[in-house]
Amino acid sequence: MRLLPSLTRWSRLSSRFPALDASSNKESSSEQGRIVSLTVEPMRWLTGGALIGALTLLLIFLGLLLWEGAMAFWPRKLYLIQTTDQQAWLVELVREETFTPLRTKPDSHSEGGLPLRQLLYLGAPGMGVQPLRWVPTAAYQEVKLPKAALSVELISGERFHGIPLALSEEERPPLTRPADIIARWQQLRTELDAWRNWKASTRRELSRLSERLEQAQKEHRKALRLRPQDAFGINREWDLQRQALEKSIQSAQQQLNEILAQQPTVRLTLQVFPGPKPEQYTIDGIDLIRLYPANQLSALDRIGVVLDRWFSFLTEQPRAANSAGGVMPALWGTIVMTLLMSVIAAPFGLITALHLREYARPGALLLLVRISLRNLAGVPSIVYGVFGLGFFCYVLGGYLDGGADAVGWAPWPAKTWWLAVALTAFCGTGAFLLGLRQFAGIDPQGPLLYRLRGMLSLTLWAICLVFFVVLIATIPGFQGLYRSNLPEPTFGTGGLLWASITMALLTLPVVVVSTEEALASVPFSLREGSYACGASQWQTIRRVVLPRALPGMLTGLVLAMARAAGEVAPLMLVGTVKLAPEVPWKERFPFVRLEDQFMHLGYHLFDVGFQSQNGELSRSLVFATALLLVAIVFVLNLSAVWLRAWLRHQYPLSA
Amino acid sequence: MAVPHHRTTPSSREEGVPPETTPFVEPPPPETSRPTVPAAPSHRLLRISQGDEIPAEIHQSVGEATPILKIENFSLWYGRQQVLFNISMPFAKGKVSALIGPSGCGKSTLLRSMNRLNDLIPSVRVSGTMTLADEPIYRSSVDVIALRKRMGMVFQKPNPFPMSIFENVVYPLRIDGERNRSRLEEACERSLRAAALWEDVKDRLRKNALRLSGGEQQRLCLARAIASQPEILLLDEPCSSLDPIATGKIEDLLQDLTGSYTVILVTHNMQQAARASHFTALMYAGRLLEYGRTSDLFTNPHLKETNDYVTGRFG
Repeated sequence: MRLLPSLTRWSRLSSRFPALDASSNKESSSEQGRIVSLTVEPMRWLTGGALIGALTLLLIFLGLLLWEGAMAFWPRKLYLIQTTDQQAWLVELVREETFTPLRTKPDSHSEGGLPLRQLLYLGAPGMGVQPLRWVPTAAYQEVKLPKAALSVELISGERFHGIPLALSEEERPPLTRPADIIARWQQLRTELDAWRNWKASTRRELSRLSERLEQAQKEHRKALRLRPQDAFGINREWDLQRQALEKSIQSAQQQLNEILAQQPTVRLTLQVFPGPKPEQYTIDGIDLIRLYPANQLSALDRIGVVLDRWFSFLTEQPRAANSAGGVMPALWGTIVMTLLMSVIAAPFGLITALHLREYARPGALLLLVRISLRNLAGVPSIVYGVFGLGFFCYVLGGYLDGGADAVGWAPWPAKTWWLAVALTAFCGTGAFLLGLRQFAGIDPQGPLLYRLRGMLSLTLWAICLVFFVVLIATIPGFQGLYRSNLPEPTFGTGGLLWASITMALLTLPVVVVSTEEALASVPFSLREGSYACGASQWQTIRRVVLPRALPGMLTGLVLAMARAAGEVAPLMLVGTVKLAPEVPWKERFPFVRLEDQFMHLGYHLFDVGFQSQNGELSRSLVFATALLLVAIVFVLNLSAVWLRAWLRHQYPLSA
Repeated sequence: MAVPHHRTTPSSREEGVPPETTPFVEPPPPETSRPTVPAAPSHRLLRISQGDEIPAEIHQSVGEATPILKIENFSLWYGRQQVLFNISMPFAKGKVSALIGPSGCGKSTLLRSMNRLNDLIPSVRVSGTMTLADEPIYRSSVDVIALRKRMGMVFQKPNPFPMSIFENVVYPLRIDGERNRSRLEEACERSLRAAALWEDVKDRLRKNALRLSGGEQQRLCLARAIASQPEILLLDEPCSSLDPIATGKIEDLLQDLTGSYTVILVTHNMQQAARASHFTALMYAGRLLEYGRTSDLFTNPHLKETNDYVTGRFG
């Protein structure tokens, strides 16, 4: 078995753990002395049993994932099967199982044991046959491995199996020998890829130009609305702009037409086997992305095909309603969302934890906050999603889009608003100044009035902060940033920004709790030493506590990132979509459009596996995606371990 | 450099404890509920355990020295529990004063009250006054940070910061905002030389301080404590976690520092107090029992309890 450790490794293991293997007694006798620590206690067996149970489950899970993930893109052999009812198929064997046949034929049990049936991929999609079919092996009359058999992948995600008959091009005699066809294909493939890329980039350019035109039109309308007196100038400017844009659109369109005219004309004719009799089927070369002679591949060739498919999987967009193609947009979305999330969650979590651990006075309130935080970490993630949709997308997003009236807030009259700003600023400054003495002169055991003053100033400060946020949200005259786009929402719907903020909110308790624990693990003697040197509290935190707590804090953050990367439920509500193939990294800086909806590996997995029509066919994609997702989370966790070890090396924690 | 002192107390011989394993006598913690002297019940200790006020026996010689730090009627509570009772004592300028007494008698608490390190514990309350060079320590207008900068402190366990040796030593200057490289380097070398560590670490000043051995770490902490040239050095059992050789080095340093610094030393080790200090105060259950010249206290104490304690008969 491949999964078992090799014999040498086993013997090395058993020499380290002598209890594993009786034969190691000989080995240990060659060393000095006897091992005396082999006391056997019942608890040892009990705990060990539990460990083995847990490990077995994990190993089964990981093994299945690794095996299926690795085999997802493995090129299988093609069998030509002739059945007893005169059907001929060129098939891939997907899997096999024993089955209990219907008891219509009493003699079907005669051969002893249950009969076997195989799931076959027929390789002739859209030709009036089911692409996948269970066939009992008893129905086979003849099974052959035709040497010339080709497996052909199309852009649509369909795969054909067939015997190549001819590869015809313009201005070239058609090739008929299978070896020639394959050799020529290798040359054609790069040409076709280049042409496809060319076409795609021109298309992108075209759509970008029309988007700009649309935008300019909106701006023009807005300008007309705001400054009707300048209508003449605005219109003239708009005309110039429009003409320039239309000109470039025209030239791009022309270029596209030229490209389409230059489409290489390649035709591959296959003999396919959809059932009763073989048929000829011609494939346009432009639809063709990969072909290989399935029965003539060496092991190395097979690995080459696997790597090629993995490369396509990682770098290409999904095609055919996600049931084929790659996952690049989903990968990109996952990574960008996770990074944005940590950029938001890390500083907030750090500052919150710092206050809780370093500044807040222990008491009932602090205990309550701690308990709430730990409970928040356990709130089902979908609840965060609902909140994110309701508050971030609709309220905040709607406000950003269309101003206060768009979300039903009555904007304050300007005078009242300015008065409120002045009042808040005055109260806030007053509270701060009142508290300043409290913070500087440490006399925690002062009279009650003194302490009351401290509490009052802090409360007032907090109220002013909240009020300040409310004031920002009610700026008079704020009409929204994207009012001209309404009613089509810009930020008022799910998007990358809201998803990141929602995930930051979701992971914030985790970050806070782990940061707090990291801070708590800094020994009090270090703080004492720093205070005794005359350091202020902030100096102590910045110079002594934070460097020392850094490994723990970073580990917590990376674990939170891993959790966010694997989360699906809330994302479905706040911005993840089934298909958002355009990745903006080919555009201008900053390469991220915060308002855009995006794809996510977790959601993609759900969609491919359980929402697509041909589940069995996208099975390999499901496992590959799952493996990729697990690999990302694993790499994140591994980097946490590595980071911790590295920081420990940089800043040893104990002598 | 003096040879490490031989550190076997008569008491440990009497108890039959091998001197190699326990170089110091660690008195067991006092039990506050009943008298702790089973052999010869002391009238004074009994009254203390009953909560009576006992006036401290302060020798006349103490008053003759110039004081720099004065404590008057100082009491301290942790929440409701009182741990220091009406302590009044001066500390002489430029001398080494030792605080001895059984564990839990409040020596360390008293020491930590001097630089207001007890402020870090929210439940601490104090009464009475302390003055440093005639300026009050406990008053709400006092800048605690400036106050702490006037005192250096070394703790029971070495607590170097997670940074380089150099940064550890110049930490007090760094937090004052000193950026002048040459001044920092000069302070670092001076302090490390004073702590007799310069020769050992001068080639690895950029290395992490946590890689030093325990004794080196404690000397590093001492160097840190004197880097900003404080008026008073507070040492809280600086040798309790060190082996005899490292202890010997620290004690030699104490001898060298005498005169330039006022040192207040909390110790469990009677020999150390006898060797290193000019004045010694014996504390018991939060009270000051007797305070006088070290030579007087050890050879000619006024109280019978002091005699018992220094000869190892109680505590």
